[in-house]
Amino acid sequence: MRVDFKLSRILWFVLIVAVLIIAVVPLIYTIDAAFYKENKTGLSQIRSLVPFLNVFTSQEYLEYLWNALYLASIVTAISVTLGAALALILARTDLPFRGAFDLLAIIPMFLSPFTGLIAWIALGSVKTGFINVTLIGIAHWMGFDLEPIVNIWSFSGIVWVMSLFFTSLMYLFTSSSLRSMDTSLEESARASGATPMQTLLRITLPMQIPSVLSSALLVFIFSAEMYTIPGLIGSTFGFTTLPWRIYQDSTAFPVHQAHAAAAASMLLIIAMIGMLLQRWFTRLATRYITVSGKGFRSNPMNLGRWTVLSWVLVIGYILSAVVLPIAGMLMSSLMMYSAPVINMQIFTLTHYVQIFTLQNMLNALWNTAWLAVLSGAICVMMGFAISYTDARKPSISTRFLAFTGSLPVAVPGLVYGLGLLWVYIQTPLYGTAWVLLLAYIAKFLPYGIMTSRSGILQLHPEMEESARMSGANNAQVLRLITMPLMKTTLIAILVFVMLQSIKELSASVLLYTQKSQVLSVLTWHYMDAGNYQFAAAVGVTQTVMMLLLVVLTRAVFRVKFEKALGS
Amino acid sequence: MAQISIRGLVKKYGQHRAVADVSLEIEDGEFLVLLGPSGCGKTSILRCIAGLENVTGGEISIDDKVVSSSEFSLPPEKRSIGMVFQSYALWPHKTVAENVSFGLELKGIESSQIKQKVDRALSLVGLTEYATRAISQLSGGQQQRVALARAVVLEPSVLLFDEPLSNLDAKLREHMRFELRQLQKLLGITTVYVTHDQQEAMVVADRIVLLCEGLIDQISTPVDIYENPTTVFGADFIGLANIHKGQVIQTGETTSVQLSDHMQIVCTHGQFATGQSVDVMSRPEQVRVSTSPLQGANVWQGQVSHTFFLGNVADVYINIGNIQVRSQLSPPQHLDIGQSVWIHIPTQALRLYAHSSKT
Repeated sequence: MRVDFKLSRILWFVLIVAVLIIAVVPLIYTIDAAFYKENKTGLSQIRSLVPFLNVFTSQEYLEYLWNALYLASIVTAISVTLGAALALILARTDLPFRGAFDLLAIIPMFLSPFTGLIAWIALGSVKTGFINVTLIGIAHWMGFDLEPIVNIWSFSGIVWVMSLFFTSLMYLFTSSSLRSMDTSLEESARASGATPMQTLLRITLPMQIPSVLSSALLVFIFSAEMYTIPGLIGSTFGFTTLPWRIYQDSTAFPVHQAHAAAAASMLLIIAMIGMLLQRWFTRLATRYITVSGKGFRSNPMNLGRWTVLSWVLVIGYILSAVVLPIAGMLMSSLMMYSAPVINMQIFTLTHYVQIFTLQNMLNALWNTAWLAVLSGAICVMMGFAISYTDARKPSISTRFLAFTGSLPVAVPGLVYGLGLLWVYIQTPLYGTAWVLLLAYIAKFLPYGIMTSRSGILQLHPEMEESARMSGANNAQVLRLITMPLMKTTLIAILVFVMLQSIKELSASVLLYTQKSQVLSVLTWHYMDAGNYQFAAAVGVTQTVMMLLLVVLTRAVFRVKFEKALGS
Repeated sequence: MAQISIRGLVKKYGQHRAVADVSLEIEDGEFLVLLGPSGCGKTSILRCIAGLENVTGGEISIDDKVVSSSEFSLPPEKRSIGMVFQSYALWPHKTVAENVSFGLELKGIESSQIKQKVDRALSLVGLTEYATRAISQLSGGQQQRVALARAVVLEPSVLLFDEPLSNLDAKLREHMRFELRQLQKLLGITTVYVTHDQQEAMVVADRIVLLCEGLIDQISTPVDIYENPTTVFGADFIGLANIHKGQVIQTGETTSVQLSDHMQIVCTHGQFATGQSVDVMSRPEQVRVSTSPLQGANVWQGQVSHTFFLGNVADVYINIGNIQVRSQLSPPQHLDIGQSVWIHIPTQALRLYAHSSKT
C-alpha cells in the first residue's frame, strides 16, 4: 500500500511537470520573445521594447488585427444564423429525412477546413473552377455568352469557405442544446395559451441565447486565429490578417521573430478574453438547461409555408459544405492540371500512384498515422488521469493541473507552433515529428480533460465504492469498473483527438521539416506551390482516412462523437 | 462474526464536524440501526466503518483489531465487510451473476465454487432465474436484492446498509424491511444500518442509535427508545409528540407543571425543582378524548380545532385556551369542528424534560 501510494505520487509529479512543459513553457517563451531586439535570423541578446510597441501601437499591425476581427465577425454572424436555422429546422420541425440530414450536416466537422478550401478552389476559381466551367458550358450550349459568376479568390471567397465549416460547428452546438431542453417548458407555454410559433419565438429561442452566444464566441475565436485560409487567398489581393502576418514574420526571410512574438501575444490576449467570456456564457447556459428525465419529445412543428425555404437552406448547405467539395476535390485530384475546358485526356491516377509510392509521401502518411494514434492515446490517458484525480480526490494540485491542462483551449495553434519552434529549435528534438506530437498534445489535452470530466461526473462514486467493498483495490476498481464504464467516452476522446491531429495544420506548418512531414502540411505545401491537383489528391487521402475512422468507430463501438462533442 | 468497537470517533470535512464524538459497542450478530435526520452524521459513521472515509480522530476496531484511526486506515477491500448502497451501485456493464461473482473472482476462487456461491446468494434473495439478466432489465426491488446478494456472497463478518430502501415505493419498502431483518437473523452477520425512517428502524433493529448533530442522543431498543426518550429531540424525532413548555409549580410524589393560565398538568416522571422551565411531552395516542365530561387529574375541556380521517386513526387537534393538543383516536371516532370535548392524559404517560433554549 505504501509503495502504491508513493508510485502514484511520483506519477502525479511527472504529470504536473509534463503539463507545465507542454502547455505553459511555450507560451512563456513566446511572450518573452517579444521583448528582444531582432537580427536577421531571429533574436539578439539585447532587450528591447521596440517590437512590442510597434505591434501594439502601429497603424499597420492594428489594421491587421482589425482585418482579423472584421473577418471573424462576418464569418461568425453567417455561421450563427445558418447554424441556428439548420438546427431549428432539423431538430424541431416536420421536415422529411431529418435524421439523414442531421448526419450530413455534421460531416464538415470531421473534415479539415483547409481541404474545404482546396475543394472550393477547384470548384470556384474564375477560369478553371468547375462551377464556372459548367455554367458557362451550359450557357454556351443554350446559345449565349456568360461571364464567370463565382470567384473564390476574393474576400467573399474567404468568408464563404470559413463560414461553411463553422456553420457545422454552430449547428452541432445549437441542436444539442435544443435537444437537451426540457420539453415541458414548451408544453407549459402551450398550456398557457401560446401558439406553436409564439412558443418558438418567446420560449424556445430566448432559452437558447446563452448557449448560442457561448458557441458563437468559440467560432469567433477560432476564425480570428485562423491564418491558413485567409492567408492563402488573401495574399493574392493584399488582404492581411494578424495571424497571417505572424506566420509571415516568423517564416519569411528576413524573419521578425520579436514582432511575431508580440503579435502572437496580442492574439493570445484576445483569445483568452474570448474564452473567459465564453466560459461565463457557458455557465449561464447550463443554468438554462434542464434535462427532463421523461424523454417526451414534443410534436415537431409544422413547417407550412416555410417548407420550401427550409428545403433550400438544408439542401443548399449540404451541397455546398459536403457534396460539392468532396466531389470537386475528388475530380480535381484526378486531373493533371486546371483547365477551362475539361475533356477525358486530362484525367489521370498519377497523383495517387505518387502518394503511395514516393518515399516522402509514404513518410507523411506514416507520420500522420502514428502521430494521430499517439497523441490520441496520450491525451486520453493524461486527460482521464487529471480529471479522475480531480473529481475523486480534489486538492489544490488537482485543481491547478485541471486548469493548466485546459488552458490551451484558448491558445491558437499558431502561437503554440511558434512557442514550441523557438523552444526546441536548438535541441535535437527539432526536425523530428516528436515536436509535432508535443504541439498536438498541448492543443488537444483540454478535450481529453474536459470530456473525461463530464464522463466521470456521470458515474456515481458508489459504483466504485461498492467494488472496493467487494474486495477490489484502487487499481482493480479503475481497471475493472471505472474504465469499462467509461469506455464510450474514452474511445470518443481517442478518436476525436486522432481526427484533430490528422487535420491539424496551423502548428504543424511551423514545426515540420523535410523529415517530419504530415499529410496536412503536404496539402498546404502543394497549395502554396500552386499544385492544386496534387494537393487535392492528398486532401482526398486525408479525408478518406478521417471518414473511415469516424465510420469505423461508429460501427464498431457505437460511439457518436456529436454527443461527446456537443456536451 | 464480529463485534465492532467505536471509540471517540471524530470525522471532519474541512471545518465541518460531521461526527463530533461518538463511542459505540456493537455486539456480535447484532442488528444496529443508526437513525437521525439528514446531516446528523449517520452516513459518515457508516462510511468510516467501511473504510471509505478516513477518520479525523478516535478509533474503530473490528474484533479487537484497529481498522481505522487518525494515522491508519485499513483499505476497505481488506476489512471483510459487505455493503449495500443507497443507489444500489450495481455495475451496468455486468450481468446479475457477474455483479455477484465480481468479489469472488478477485479472490481467485475456482469457477465451480464461484458458481455455487453465486447460486446460493441469488437463491437467498429469490433471484435464481435472473442470473443472466442485464441490470437495466431489473426493477428497483430486484436491483436491491442483487445488491444484497453481492454484499453477502463473500460471507463478510460485517454488513453495512446505507439507506437501502429509500428508493423503493412504500409497499415494497415495508415488505423488504421484514425480509432484510429475517435474512440478517438467518445469516447472523453483525449489521449496521443507516436510515432516517424511524418506522424502518423500529422494524429491523435490535438496538437503535439516535444521532443528532454528530453526537449520540440515545442508544436503546426500539420499544424503550419510543417509550422513554431521554431528550425532547428524541421524543420529537421518533413517533409523534405533543410538546408544551411550562413551569414547575409543585414537586414531591408528583410534579405539577403550569402550562398556561387555564392548564395545569400532573406527572410522575422526572426530578425537577420548583420554578424550573420544563418541556412536557405526551404521545397523541395516549390522549383520550370524550364527548361527555370526565373526572380526575389531567382532565380538561376544550374545542375541536380540526380533524383528519387517516383510515385506521382519526387525527384530532383540540384547543384548550391557547394550547393545542393533538390526539390520535383508534378506532377513529367522528368529531365535529368546534365541538366541545374532554381530554385526559394519564399521569404516567407524560415525560418531562428540562427546557433548553434550543428547542
